[in-house]
Amino acid sequence: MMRYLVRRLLLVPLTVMAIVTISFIMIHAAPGDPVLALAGEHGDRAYYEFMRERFGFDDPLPTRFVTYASRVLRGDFGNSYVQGRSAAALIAERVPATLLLTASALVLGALVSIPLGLWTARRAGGRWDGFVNFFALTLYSMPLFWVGQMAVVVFAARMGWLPVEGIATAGSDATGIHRVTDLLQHLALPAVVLASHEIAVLTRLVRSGVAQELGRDHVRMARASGLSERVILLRHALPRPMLTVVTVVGTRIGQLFAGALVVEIVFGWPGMGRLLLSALQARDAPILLAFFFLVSCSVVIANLVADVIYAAIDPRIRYG
Amino acid sequence: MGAMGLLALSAPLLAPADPFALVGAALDPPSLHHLMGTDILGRDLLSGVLYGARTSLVVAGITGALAFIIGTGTGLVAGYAGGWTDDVLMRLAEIVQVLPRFFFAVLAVALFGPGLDRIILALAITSWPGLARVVRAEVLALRTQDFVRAAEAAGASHTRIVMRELLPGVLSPAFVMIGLLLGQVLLLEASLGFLGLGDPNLASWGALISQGQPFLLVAWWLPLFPGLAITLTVLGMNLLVDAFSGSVPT
Repeated sequence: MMRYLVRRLLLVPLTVMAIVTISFIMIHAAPGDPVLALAGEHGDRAYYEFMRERFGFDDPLPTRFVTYASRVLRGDFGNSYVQGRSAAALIAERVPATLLLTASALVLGALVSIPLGLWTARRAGGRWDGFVNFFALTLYSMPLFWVGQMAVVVFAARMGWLPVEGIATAGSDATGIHRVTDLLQHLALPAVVLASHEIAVLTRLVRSGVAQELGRDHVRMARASGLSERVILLRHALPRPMLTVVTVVGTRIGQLFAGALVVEIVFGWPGMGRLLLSALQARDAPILLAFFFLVSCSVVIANLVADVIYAAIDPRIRYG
Repeated sequence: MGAMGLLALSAPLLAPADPFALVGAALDPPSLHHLMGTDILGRDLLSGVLYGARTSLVVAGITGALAFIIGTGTGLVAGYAGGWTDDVLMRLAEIVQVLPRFFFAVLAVALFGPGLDRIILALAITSWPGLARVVRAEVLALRTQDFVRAAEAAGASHTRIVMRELLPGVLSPAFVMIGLLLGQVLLLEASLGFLGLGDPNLASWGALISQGQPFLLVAWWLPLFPGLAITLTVLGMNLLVDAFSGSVPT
């Protein structure tokens, strides 16, 4: 297992360098002066000079690449022309709100899909199984931003149950527990909407994994020895499918972030989504490059973590 | 899915109006006159949805075809050649698989300007690795089978073995992967349209939905119908895949 982990770790810097290289190629493949690609078309002369010098755009290509790579690896993607500040700092201040939303959605996804998956696995082939399966497929076929809009129309606008926008009631000076409940009310709809795709994917995964396990010898043995259905499900049938769940959650991090950003735009959630939208409208390339790099790296790290967890909790797996 | 394709093809015949023409009162709710209502400029939403089908299906279709060619080709070569060719191609696939498709496409459109061609290329370039790995695994299993061994013993060329013996065997898992991919590409294309990254001269479902965003509280029909169109198309695709394989989308 050590050898596997070492090999796996060695692949991380290689992948990160590949991501840097791809950004670099994209900037140079774009039509026109690469500094325009990096800095956008709305800058003034002083700003272009600043970016040109910072990223060594007057040097020959190999030197330029080294300068660019070392800047990016230190988290320097250049300054946003529109906001006049470092792209990394602009993104960093939006991260907490997005992380709160994505983490809530993941927890919610797990809390719904594991019990639902177990429940349907026991009824495999039955009417409810078919219904839940169809329901999950339908959820998975809806664009998240649309689910968000429909949730706003139905729950917030028509019924007036929940706030439509933002992270806190405007002008509210509530403190302590009231502030927390206010936050939770604002979080509820976007988190449920973002969780819907996770619920769809994970329920089907748990269901098919557990249904398969229920037919295996070790589960039959457990049943024959008179263990309760509860123990059989949780101790004997669930663990192996959970490994797949961990891996799939790891590989879906990129999709989760993409979903979070469009859901944020619908709900006016003050995370990275609005920054992405304004950067797009202004063609603010430093911010978009930073997004691409950071999300790619999160996927690399999430995959690594998922693999390590997989290797650590499954005693049967010994990577050579 | 097939029905949606027919609707898309016959959009010019069925659509009551040009999707960009101003044909009625602004924000008119659905009525016999405008089945899906009108938008803020008085454009007929039904026409927008019908023409939007063309954009979505063109993007998904070409992306799927490109990903199929790259992915199946890579998988066949990697699995059949083995050795360092296999190593290099599979490391490449692992690296590309890490790239977040959505953010890569966003970056491509931002750097190269809006246009369907860039969206299609960006999505295709990042969509082949899963398929390549499935095809490669299938080839590894097929290689040891008697009919492939027999062809080798008979002195068939590499091209002939790959094209005549291996390719037919990998097609059905490849089609399942492409089916899953098409659903994802349709949703991605909608997201890009929602962010205003589509071609401004073409109707698209995502763009129609984003135009409804400021009027959510007064004009529910604006996002409802284009969203239903996306959902039904993607669901049709996913049900097809499900029936074909019983596999799980990831």
